[in-house]
Amino acid sequence: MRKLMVAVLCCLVFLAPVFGQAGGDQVQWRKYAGTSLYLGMNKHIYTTTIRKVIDEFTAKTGIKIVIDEYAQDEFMNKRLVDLSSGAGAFDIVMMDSIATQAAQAGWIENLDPWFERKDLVDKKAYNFQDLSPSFRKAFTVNGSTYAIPVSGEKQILYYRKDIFKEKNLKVPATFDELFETAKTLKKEYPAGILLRGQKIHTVSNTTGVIWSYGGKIADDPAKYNKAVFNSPEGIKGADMYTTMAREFGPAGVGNYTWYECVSDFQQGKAPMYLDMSVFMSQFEDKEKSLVAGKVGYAPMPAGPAGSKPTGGAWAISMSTASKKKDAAFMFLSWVTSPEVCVKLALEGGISARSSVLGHPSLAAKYPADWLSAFSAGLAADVPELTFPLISKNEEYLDTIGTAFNSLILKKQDVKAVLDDAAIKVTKIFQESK
Amino acid sequence: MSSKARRKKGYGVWVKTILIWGFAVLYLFPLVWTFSLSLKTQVDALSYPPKFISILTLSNYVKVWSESDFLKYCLNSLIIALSATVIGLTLATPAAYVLSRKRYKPKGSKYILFGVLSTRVVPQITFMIPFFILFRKLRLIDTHISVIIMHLTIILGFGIWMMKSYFQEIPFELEESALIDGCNYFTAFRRIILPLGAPGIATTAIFSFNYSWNEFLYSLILTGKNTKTVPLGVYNWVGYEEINWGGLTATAILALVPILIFYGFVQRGLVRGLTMGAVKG
Amino acid sequence: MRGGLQEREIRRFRWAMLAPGLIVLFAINAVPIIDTLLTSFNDFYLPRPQQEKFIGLANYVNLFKDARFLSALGRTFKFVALVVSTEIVLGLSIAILLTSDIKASKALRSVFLLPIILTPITTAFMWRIMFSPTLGVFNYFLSLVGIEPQQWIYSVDQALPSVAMVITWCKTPFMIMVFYTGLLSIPDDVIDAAMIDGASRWQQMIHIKLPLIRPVFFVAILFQLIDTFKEFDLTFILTRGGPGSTTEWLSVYTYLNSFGFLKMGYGSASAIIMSVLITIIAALVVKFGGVNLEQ
Repeated sequence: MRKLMVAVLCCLVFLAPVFGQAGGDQVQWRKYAGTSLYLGMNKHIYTTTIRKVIDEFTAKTGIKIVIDEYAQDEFMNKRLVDLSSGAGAFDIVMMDSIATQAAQAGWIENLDPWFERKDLVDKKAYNFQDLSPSFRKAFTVNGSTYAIPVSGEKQILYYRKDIFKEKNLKVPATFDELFETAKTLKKEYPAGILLRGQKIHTVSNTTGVIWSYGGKIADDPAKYNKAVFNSPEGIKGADMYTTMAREFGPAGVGNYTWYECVSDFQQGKAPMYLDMSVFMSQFEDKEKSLVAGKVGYAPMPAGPAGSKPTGGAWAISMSTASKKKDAAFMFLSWVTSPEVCVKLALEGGISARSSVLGHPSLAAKYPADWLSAFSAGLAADVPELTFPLISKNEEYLDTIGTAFNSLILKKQDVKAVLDDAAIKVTKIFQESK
Repeated sequence: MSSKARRKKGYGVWVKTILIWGFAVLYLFPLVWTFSLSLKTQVDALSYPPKFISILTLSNYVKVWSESDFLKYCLNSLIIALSATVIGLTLATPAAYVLSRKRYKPKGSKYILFGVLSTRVVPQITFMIPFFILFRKLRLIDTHISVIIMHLTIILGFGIWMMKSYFQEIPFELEESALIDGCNYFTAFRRIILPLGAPGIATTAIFSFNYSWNEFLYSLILTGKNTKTVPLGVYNWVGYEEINWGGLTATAILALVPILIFYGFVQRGLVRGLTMGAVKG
Repeated sequence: MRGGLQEREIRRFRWAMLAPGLIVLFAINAVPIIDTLLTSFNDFYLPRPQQEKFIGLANYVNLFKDARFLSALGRTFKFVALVVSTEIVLGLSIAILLTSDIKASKALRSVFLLPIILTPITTAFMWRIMFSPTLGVFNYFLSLVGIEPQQWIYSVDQALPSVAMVITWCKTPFMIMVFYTGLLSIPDDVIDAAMIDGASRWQQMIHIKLPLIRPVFFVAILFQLIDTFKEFDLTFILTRGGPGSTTEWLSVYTYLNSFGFLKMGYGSASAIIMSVLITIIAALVVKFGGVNLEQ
């Protein structure tokens, strides 16, 4: 009996390394030393933050990382040309709402099989479930993951603490309150509230309001058969956003993108702003903003159906035309692993991992009300993804954006405009199948 | 001229001068504003009422110098623009000359000229993907050559047409007398047209260089990390959450310098050509 | 016979001078133009290249039924007419003033050259913030004289003229330079002869100088027409075609189709139609402008 036990023990001792302990001992970090990886990145704070950690990766693996960064519009063009031509100039590409299109076209790699590669990643330590589900879903096509979210944002309400205190105003918790507050403030300021109005840019924000009134964009959040945003609830929601923009927004709101909104807010031209949470750093930086230290952050107000903010995420993916996929995946999984994400979050305040967002060191660095507004947004129960997971997403944005934009430009019958748009969007859904 | 008439003439000159300088100053305002933004901090850049007098800082220029590869962008742009201009003009000038002379031009010259013009009518954006695929096959991405070739598509057509019309202003009799004196066709071209047509050639050179230096779309698609050009360097300051005005304008102002130098060189040629023209018998 | 020898020499000279330029030009341009033309006959959605199929003229037919395309068409014509006419008037006036007897004309020439050498992207961004309804410096100046703040490129009515203003600002220096050099190239003895004949300055201008620079004049207009028709970069940064569709020219709509919606066939057809239109306009200018293709 004893001999058997010793034998078993010996086996276990021998076999233990094979079954592996946590800590990536299996991962053959130096296997691809000498390779160079090219990253096609958008000019985003994420790119700035990863520059600080790539040396660590190179030291660990001997793989050189070259970052090619472009401003957003040009990044989109360059990425499109590279991916669609199969040139493979980029091994890793920053990915956003075109993920479905890129996945269906076979431009980016299905990452599920790659996570099974024990020589490249320690799956357990990677803790895939830690990636915020709402962001993860946006990059899951046909049940498989095609990109890993790296930075997320949610709609929140920015407001001027000092002005609210001075006027004894309550932070709006519902859209009706927001409406009234904006109306009052418009009497004194160039804008009662800043809102994005430009055709494409207005879609995500308006969608959040539609959700909060109980409406949705599509009938089925997975199948996208029919557009249903022209339901009575959807109409109310769209009406609320577009009326606020038209009546209490800044002059020229019809072509306002985030850029105009952020500048106006930084210069103190309006006391409220409803948009994505990512602009916090722009307002708190004294070198850029006159209102640093005076900004309050609140969760998006609630409609009859609750507070259901939209969100967005950037992700990174692997090009199918890459000739160094093993090394590329090693980097991809490393830079999105929990430990590295904490480092990145401390640098830039962004992450898509739930554990990181709750990290105490972040709490020390960023305004508490921003963190809670953001977390509230993440926790909200939303009916579908912000942008439909379809191939023809640009056409969708253009069509529905035109509808919302026309309502912002001119007071019209909301139902008629949305009915018309819904027919067109349903057609786009069908064509995208 | 009576002294009264002369005084009147003097007033006329002054009125015209003031008018045009006034207009020039107004015209220049956006440039002045750009320059002023390059000296301001980000928060001052957008302040309203606009701060005409604010704390001036050179930090943006320092940032451009240290944080971006400005010199490299300049070098790349310079190589591309100079090559494109020189090659373009070398190919276009003789062609323009022949097409401007009844004596020399071929029978179907009307169609040739129109064909040249047609190369310019297709919008650039549609060329993006086919050219990218082509140059990738030839392994010419991230090289200067591919961009130079793309710029030649514009410069050649433009050059042939512009210089042809300038050469047309020079009477053929001048070459005729040179030919009678025993020059061959090419020498006549070289001795008569090049000096007299210098203003036209210079103007074409300036606009060709300018086009190539400031060209954005093809440079974006065909360059890579090593061959990034100055306009891309300017666009670099446009980010996801902000537009860094200081960096953008500082890069833009610095980018003016090489063109102005080029213009200075070409100006001298222009002046020389004009004075030679005045001396001809 | 001397004639035959001379003819051969001329022919050799002619083709030696013409061939290099023409060969390079047509070689470079042929491939993409043909590629675009061929794509325009297909239904080609870029993410699904395997589904590309030939559909003949369907893209063209659909374009002419497309209300958005047609309004873009009309808008483009309006825009081009506005820009080019302003450039001609402004450019010619300034060029004439520059060649007259004013002081410091050389410095002035360099001053007028500056807008065109500034990188277009910079120009676009600069004008965009100067136009800002809340933070822009133009509205500030207007407020000083008691005029209300305008919305410029953010206004449905003012967007088109505002963009036109920017393009004009940017491109008029080209016209100025071309006209100016053209006026300067007029040989002195022609002017001298006119002066001896007693012509006044004004008469010299109208009857001698302007007719002589006619070739240069019309070539400049020709190129400006073509370029303005294709104008895209500045507009895209200034307004992205908005507000609504008020600055959506044909070039913007073509870009949207090709690079936004990725309908390459449809976008290519749109580009071909644009090219054909420009070619027709060019032909008209050549014919009526007396751009003398025969000397």
